Amino acid sequence: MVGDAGQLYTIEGIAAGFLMIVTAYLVVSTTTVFTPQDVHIIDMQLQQLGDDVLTMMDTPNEYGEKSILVEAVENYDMNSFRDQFLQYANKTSNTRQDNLKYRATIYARKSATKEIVTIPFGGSTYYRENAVTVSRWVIVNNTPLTGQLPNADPRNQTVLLEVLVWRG
Amino acid sequence: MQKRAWVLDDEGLLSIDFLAGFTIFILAFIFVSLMMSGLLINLQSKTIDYDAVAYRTGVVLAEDPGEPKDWHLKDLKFPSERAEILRMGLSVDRYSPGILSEKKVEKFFIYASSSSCSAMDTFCYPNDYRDKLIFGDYQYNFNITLRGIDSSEIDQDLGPVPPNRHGHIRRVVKIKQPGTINFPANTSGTYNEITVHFNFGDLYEREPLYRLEPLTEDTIINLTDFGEARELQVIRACTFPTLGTRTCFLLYSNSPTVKVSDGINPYDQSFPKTISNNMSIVIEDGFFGRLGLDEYSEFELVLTFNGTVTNQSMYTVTYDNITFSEPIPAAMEVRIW
Repeated sequence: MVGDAGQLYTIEGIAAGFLMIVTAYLVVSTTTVFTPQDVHIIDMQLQQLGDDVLTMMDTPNEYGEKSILVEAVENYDMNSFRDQFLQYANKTSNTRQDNLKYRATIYARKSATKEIVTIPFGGSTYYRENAVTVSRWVIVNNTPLTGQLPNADPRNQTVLLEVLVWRG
Repeated sequence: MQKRAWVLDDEGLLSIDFLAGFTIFILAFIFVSLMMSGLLINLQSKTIDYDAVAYRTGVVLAEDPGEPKDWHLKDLKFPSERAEILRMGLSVDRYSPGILSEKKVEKFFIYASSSSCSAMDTFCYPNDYRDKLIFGDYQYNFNITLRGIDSSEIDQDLGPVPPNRHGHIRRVVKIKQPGTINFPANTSGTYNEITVHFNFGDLYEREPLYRLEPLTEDTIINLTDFGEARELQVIRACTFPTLGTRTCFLLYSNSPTVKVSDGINPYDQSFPKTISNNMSIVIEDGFFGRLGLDEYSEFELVLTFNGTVTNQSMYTVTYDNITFSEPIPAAMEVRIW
């Protein structure tokens, strides 16, 4: 009473089951990896570096003092900002320094008209290199005796300092 | 009527069942074939993430105070203390990223090769660094450098020169310098003893970059303007237990302890010591921890001389008489291959 038909069904069933189990195993044991393109890694490294430089420039050297960054922005001192930024950003462990350039802009808000003014803050000319932007909010006291930021309101305010950084 | 072979009939049409099953099968097949590429990951994975490992190591070094956060006070001669260090981060505090502790930096860059390191108070290269900093299953090679940006005082290297292809990250940090406490003496005063009083609660109120950290850094006290020569006979340390009275005792002879310099010779514990015009006391990091003190404790150091040295019964340490050197900016690079 045992016939070929029954064996065929059984073999089919075993084969199907085997196929499903192998498939499930393959699916579960593979890892999905997102490999970023190389240029994004370079962007991330540059962004981290730029962020670090601005953070360290905004760390006062003594308790209660203003940081170098706040002083440079308040006094609209592009040279002091440039010297310090490039010194921090281009230092490497080799004798050959890195070759980072930047272009900085300050954005301030006029309280009377609510418009945003753009104040250029020095740097090299940007010729469309592959660049990243790092930014930092800076609290400045732009009252006449303390600050000299042109076009910005003469009051205590928070301005946005945006720095475009590129290598080359 | 007999059907002819080339006439389409019902049996040649695809049934709905078949279409549904076939669709599901094809979708599953596409899904599996897309994931097949991930099967080969284990053969190649270490080359993909050098940059990721370098970035992670940079974050641990620059932004993490480590675990435990006073790991630099551990004596690595004892295997149990070495095992207590889980992560070597150089930051002073988790809320002060980018500000490194000078003592942690010093301890981090002291290492010996794996054959001789376990009996010494040094890290084992490369095993301790792989276990407590780099992490991961693969035996990554690494090179970590720290260079002062406008100071050649900071110049540290760890690891061999990397090949051309390697993962890399550069971080800019500031290394906090310890503060010194300055008090003037006065030999035409009335007291034979100088008592220096610490109230740690007042000192720990400031944020980490600008505060004196007696528990985790060396504490240096400079006493100046003695005028006439005096002989320092003994130093006692006094603690203030919560339920109890002020208890004073002589100092330990082994580190961490308190040492004195007469301004000319190195710090030591030889008494009596002749002081001509100024002197310096160093309370080594870990001394207060040894006494079981914390950020809320009080402490006194009592120096007994053979003549009058001050007209103040007590000097209380406040930020008015502490001077700090500026933190030193530095560039730290991590390379992994």
